[in-house]
Amino acid sequence: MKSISRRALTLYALIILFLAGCGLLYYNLVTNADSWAMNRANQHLYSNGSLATAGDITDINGEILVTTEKGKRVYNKNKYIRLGTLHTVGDSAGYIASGIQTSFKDELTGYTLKDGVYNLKRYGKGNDIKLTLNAEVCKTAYKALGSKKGTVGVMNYKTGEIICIVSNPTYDILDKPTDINTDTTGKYDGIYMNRFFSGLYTPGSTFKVITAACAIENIPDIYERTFTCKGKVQIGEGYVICNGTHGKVSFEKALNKSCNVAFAEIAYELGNEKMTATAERLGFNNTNIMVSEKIRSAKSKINLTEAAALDLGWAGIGQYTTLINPCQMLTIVSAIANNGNAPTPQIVNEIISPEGKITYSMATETLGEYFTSDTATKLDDLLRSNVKNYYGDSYFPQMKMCGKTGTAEVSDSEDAKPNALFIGYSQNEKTPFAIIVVVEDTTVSMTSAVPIASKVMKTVKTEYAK
Amino acid sequence: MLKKTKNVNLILMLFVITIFQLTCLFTLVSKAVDEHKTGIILTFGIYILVEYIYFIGTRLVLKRKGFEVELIAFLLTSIGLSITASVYPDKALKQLVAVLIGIFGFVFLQWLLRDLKRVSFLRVPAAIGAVGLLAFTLVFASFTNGAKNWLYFGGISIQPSELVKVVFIFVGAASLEKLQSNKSLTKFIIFAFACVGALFLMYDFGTALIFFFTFIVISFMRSGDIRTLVLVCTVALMGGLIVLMFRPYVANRFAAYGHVWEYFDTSGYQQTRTMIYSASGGLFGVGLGNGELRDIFAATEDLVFGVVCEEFGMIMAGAILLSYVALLVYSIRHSKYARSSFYAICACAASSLMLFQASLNVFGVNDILPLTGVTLPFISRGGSSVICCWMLLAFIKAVDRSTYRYGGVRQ
Amino acid sequence: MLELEYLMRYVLCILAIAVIINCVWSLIRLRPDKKVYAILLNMANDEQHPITCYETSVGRSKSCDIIFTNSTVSRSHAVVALRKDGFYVFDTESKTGVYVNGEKIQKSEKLSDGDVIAFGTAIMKFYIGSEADNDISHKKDENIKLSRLVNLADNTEFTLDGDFITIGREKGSNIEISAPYVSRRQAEVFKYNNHWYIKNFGKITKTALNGDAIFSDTPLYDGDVIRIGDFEFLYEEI
Repeated sequence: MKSISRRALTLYALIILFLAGCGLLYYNLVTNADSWAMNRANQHLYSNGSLATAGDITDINGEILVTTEKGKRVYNKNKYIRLGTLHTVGDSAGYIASGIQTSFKDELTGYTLKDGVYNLKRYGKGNDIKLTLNAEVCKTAYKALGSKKGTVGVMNYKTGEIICIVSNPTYDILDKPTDINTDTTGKYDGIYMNRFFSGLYTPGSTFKVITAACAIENIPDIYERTFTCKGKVQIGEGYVICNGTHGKVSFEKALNKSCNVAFAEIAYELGNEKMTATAERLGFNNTNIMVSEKIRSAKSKINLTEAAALDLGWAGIGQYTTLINPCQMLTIVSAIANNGNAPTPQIVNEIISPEGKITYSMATETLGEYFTSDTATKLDDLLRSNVKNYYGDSYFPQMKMCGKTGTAEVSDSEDAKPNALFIGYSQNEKTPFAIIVVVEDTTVSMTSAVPIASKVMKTVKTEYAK
Repeated sequence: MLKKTKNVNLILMLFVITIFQLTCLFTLVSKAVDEHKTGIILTFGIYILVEYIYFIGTRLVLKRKGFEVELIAFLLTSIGLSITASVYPDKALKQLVAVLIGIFGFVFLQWLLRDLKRVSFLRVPAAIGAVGLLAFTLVFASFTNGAKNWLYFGGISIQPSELVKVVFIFVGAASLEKLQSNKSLTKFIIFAFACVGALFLMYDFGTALIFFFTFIVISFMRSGDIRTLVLVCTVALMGGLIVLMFRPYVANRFAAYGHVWEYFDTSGYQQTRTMIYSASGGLFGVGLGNGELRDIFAATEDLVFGVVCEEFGMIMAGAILLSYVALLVYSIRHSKYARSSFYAICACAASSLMLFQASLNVFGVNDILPLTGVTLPFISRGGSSVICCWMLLAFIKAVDRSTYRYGGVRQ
Repeated sequence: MLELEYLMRYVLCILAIAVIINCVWSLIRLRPDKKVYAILLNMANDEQHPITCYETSVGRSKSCDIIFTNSTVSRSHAVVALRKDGFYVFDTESKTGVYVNGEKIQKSEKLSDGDVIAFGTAIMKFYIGSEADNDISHKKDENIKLSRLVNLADNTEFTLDGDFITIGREKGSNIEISAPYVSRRQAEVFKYNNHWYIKNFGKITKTALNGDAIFSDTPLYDGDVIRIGDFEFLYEEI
């Protein structure tokens, strides 16, 4: 029997293999559980590929943006709120990848490894999500943007709460256009993309804020300098053209008037290393901001390694290959407003379990110190001076608004229309909000972006400074 | 501390199992439509009754003490019955009949194995019968789901290959003096190749693989002759390759293996759905009757592991896997002290067959191995399968020398 | 109803786990105890070959249970088997044959206590061990346990009495072993439910029972050998 029982011992190898297989199986199951369970074929959550049973999404004031009734997702009754919040809330079929309904599927369906999707059976819904969004502001921003492509974002620069995200083109989720896939005119370009998180734009003159920051940090006598603008300036082998002929200007005036000549010269003097260093400190090239830990914003890009002298000049005024992401730009503006500290953008205010318990509550976080307090104060003064002395406080009555416009040429062709940008924030204690407006294919920013920012900020004021 | 070296407390375990079964019954009845309620209650009532008769009978009449093997089998079978009764309430009674036949077969086979003379007398007729049955199936069966392995007798369908599994082990094992007098494996190899070949011709590759694996285990335990086995494996591998060369569609069956997510709605359909719903169940499941995997084809047979994961949870599914391991460990540890090498070989072969079959099933639907469409022992719906598993259990039971009380050992 | 179902999921899981884990643990842990059913006594040199399995192969080959290096013994010569109605010896096609009480057997022969078996020229006397006797072993079970430990090095005996005895380097241990690798308190043999168990305390040297290190309370059976380093003790029931 000894020989038989010895041979039987080799069967332990089979057991080891089996247990190894089980280990692999359970490793796969546990690590992939939520992504597998969230699969669109899962009839617990989806019917015909659309999210059917999930928690509510509300704005900061409790306005229901989407809820579940009788196994169907029901959206807000107001058409403009639906249009204005589409990209943030997302659709139930998951076309809009950064939408809350897609990126917070686990939370909305209440999926946990312990109970699986059982919460849906038990409560008929998962966790509710209260966003930091303000539906009224979104509505205004959508209306202000009108038919123009582009994006508007408003963020509390002290806490990082995003109260408004609008991305256009958008569509009414209850009346989805049928020709999205067949259209060739380009009117639906990037309709499923949230431009605020995923868009990358040429910054144009808004980049001068960053050039200015770099100058304040690296050129001690920058405030004593004067620049002479004759409409254009030769740098290296070509000319940088200005938007006007400004004559002799100081640093502050140069920013007020957005003088290309002055900033091209400053950039040339700073050189690519210093410019790159400042930009990278502000998150260019290396930070994908994670909004509420789940929504990834695109990375802003700057690459001056092969820039010739002239290119460097253009880069200083935001017209080289540099690209900014609106969300990232907004955090940079917020950092200026917030004494140099960049708040982490947040979109989710609270997550409420089906039993009514608050399982997650937003806490203010910071991305780090983008500027020293001194630089921030100086930039703050410069940006305030832009609005006060140049754009006019009438756009933003009693808001102590600071800002910078930008008109970005995106194509060399004659009839191409520029993108208009505006970045700014209110110094008021009651309305600590920063704003970014990007309008595609339009006119100069003073006539396109600024009026939109004006409308939005007025609504912000009525909403918050009561 | 000391208790653990003793057998489990039968009364306590039986009590816990009964509560488990009654809880399942309660859930099933509360969800069933009125016309099925009596059928389900009857199924569980009879099952629990038979369970008690078996345990009381063996404890009081046969005075046995170790009941772990049967306790596990009764528990697993009741999980299987619950799933069957939940998904196909009208087929619950039919499944129960198969379970009862299985339990009867289990008791009968234990009695049959008791006498080694009887066993050695029956081996040759059993072998001839098994090959005959497979040949009959090959000729008269028609294709069902791509394999030709079902026989129909007036409304009753049986899968002969399941029953042949029992005979296969029975024929393969032998007592020590037989092994010592005749070391040649030739006769067994011929028998095994007849069985595996017949299954191949039926396109029942999963079962063919199980038979081949069992053949390797038995041959190794009998002879310890690795050289012959390597030779046999090489021949089998070449044979397999030749089949794949001349019948490329056989290989297509396994094309999705390793990338089931890319064949999401085609050949990876069953696997991906199993994984999705296994994950949906979480650790504790969504509750009996609340699953969605049950609507997928072959949910209660090939995909039953997914149903267990979804409705009972991953933890229970893991415990089920462990119980197959325990049966094999038990067989290995008792093999030296068995009443004959016949029992030792039978038990090791039977328990490794179950473990292997469980691997093919569980790893198949989770894309760790190719999907072969075999059943999960005791849990999958299917009469032939459950009868086979219960009869295999008799082999495992027989390895424990305290099962039969003769020869002076009473424990 | 929903709350009930919610809880029932956990209950079902716990119940099933309770049964499976208990049974699995027991299946993995339980090991039949080794028993001596009979003894083959080599008449040439008084060497004892205990028969501890139901089927015992006899031969010259290393894979046999009882090995005789005698050249007249075939590689696999015979099998001694305990069957339903007693012991049998089977001649497994040996060259020199098997003789019981001087008569050459055909294939198999029933054995009785005291028979003389010859495998080739290896002559054995066959004793059916008292263990095999149903009634005695049964009685023994009820009123043991006069047992002793025998030091195999010098055959000194130590009768087990009281509730427990200690083994170790420490002065005052019931069995004192003075070797540096033995712990002060190496092992303890104790009585539980009228049966003797052994427990290891050794840190450096593990106490082994029949060649396997012990990890928890392990019951002792007649003929078990306890080994602590180079020291070996035979556990005997008197």
